Amino acid sequence: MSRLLGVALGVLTAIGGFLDIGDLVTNAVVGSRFGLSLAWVVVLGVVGICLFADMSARVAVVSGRATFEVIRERLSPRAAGANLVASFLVTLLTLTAEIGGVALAVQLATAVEPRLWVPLVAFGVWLVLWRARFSIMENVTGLVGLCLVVFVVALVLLRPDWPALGASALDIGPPPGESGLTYAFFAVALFGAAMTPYEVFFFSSGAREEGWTVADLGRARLNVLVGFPLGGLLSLAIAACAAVVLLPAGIAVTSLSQVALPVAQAGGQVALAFLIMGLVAATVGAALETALSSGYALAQFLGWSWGKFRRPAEAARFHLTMIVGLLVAVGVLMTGVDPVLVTEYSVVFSAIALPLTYLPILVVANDPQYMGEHVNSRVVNAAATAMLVVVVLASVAAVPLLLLTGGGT
Amino acid sequence: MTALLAGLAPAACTTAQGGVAGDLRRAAEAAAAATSTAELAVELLADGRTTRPAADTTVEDALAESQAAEVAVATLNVATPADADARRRTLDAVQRATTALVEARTWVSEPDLAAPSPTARLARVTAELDALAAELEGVP
Repeated sequence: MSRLLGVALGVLTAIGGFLDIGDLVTNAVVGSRFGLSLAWVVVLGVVGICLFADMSARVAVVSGRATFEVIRERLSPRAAGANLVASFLVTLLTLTAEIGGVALAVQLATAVEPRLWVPLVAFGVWLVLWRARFSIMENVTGLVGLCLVVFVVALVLLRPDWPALGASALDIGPPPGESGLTYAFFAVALFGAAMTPYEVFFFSSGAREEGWTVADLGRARLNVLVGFPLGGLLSLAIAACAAVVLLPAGIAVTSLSQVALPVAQAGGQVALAFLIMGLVAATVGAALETALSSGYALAQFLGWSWGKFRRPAEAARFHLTMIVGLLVAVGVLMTGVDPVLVTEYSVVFSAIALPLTYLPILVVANDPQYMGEHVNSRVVNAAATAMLVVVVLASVAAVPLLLLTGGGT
Repeated sequence: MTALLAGLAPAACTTAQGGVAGDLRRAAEAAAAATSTAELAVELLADGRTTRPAADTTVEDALAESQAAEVAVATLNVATPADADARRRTLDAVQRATTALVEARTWVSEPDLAAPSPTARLARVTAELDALAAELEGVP
C-alpha cells in the first residue's frame, strides 16, 4: 500500500511540477495567436523530455554519475567547459524568469508592484534551499502545483466547440495574419519550454539526492511516462483556454495577468484562487529546481561536494553557487526588465543549449561500459536518435528565427 | 558561424515587415489588444468573477502595453507626408486608448462598482483601433 502511495505521489508531483513560467507564458502566447495549430510541438516536446529524463535518470542510477559528471568525463576539457558555461547561463536566465514569475503571480493576489516581491521571493527560495528536506520541497511544490488543473476545469466550463477545437489542433501551419517565420519561431520556443535543460539536471541529480537504486528505475520511468504527458495536457489546456477566450477578442498575450482572464471568466473567483496558488507553487518549485540545477552543474563539473543530502557546511561551494545565482537573478529583475520578456528569451536559449547536454547523455546511455545491461533498447535508441535531429534543428534555427522575427513580434 | 552572423545582422537592423505602415499597424493592434484586455477585466470585475487586485494588475499591464505602443509610434521615423499623416492619426488613436485605460484603472480601484463602467468607452476605442489597423493593412 505504501509502495502504491509512493508511486501515486511520484506521478502527481511529476504532473504538478511539469509546468514552469516558460510553459505557462509560452503556451498562453501561442494559444492567443495561433490557436491550437502548434499543439503538435507540445506533443513532440513531451516525447523529447520523456526520453531525455528517462535516459539521464537511468545513467545517474546505473553509472552513479549525474549529468555534469558524465559531461566532464566524456567530453574534452574545452568542449565540456563551453558546455558548462552555456548550460549554466541558460539555467541562470531560467532562474531569473522563475523568480520574476513568482513575483508576477503574487502581484495578481495583491496588486503590489512585482519588484517589491522579488527580494522577498529570492530570500524565501534560499531559506527553503537551506533548510527544507529535498523530498518535502519537491512534494509540496509538486502537489500544490496540481492546482493548475484549474486550466482543464476552466476549458470544460467555457464549453468550447470541441470538434472545431480538435480540428484546429490538426490544422498545422500559421493562421491568417501570422507569417511562417513567426510560426516557426514559436514552434522552437514551445519546444524549448517543454524541454528545458534544467529539468534534466534536476531529475538526474534528484535520483542521486534520493538515493535511487536500479530497483527504483521502474518507478522513475512510471513517473516520467505518466506524469510528464499529463503535465503536457495541462500545457495544451492553457493554450486552449487562450485560444477560446483571447484569440477571438484579438488579445495576444504579453503578460501573466492575461493568462488568468479565461480562468476567471470560466470559474470566477474560486477558480482564480486555485490558479494563483498553482502559479505560485509552479514558479516557486521551478525556482528551487533551477537554483539547485545551477549548483549541481557547477559542483558536478568542478568535482565539488554537492547535494541537499549533505549539510550546507559539507557542500559550502554548492550552496554558495545557489546564493550567487539568486543574487544575480534579483539584480537583473530589479533593473525593471519585464519578467515575461526574460521568460520568452529563456525558453529560446533553452532550445539553443539543449543539444549540449542531450548528446552526451544519449552517448553514455548507449555505452555498455557505463550502463551494462541497462543500455538503451533499440526502440528507445531509435526514438532518442530521431529526437536528437529535432533537438539540433531547433537549436540551429533558434537564433536566425529570433533575429528575423524580432523575437516573435 | 561568423558568416551566419554577418548575414543575419542586417536582418536584425532593418525595419520590421511592412515598413512604416506595418509598424503603425502593429502599434494599433497592440493598443487594441490592451483595450480589449482591460474591457474583459472590467467586465469580469463588474460580474464579481475576478478580484480587484487581479483586475487592477491586468489593467495596469494593459496600460503599460498601450504606453509602449505610443512610444513606438511617437519615435517612428517617417519619410513622406502620407506616412507622417498616418503616424499622426495612429498616435491620436493610441493616445485615446491610453486615456481610456487610465480611466478604467481609476474605476477598478474605486470602492464603488456602481459607478458607470468604462467598458463602453474601451469597446469604442478598440473598434477605432481595429478599423485603423485594417486600413493600414491595405497600405503598400
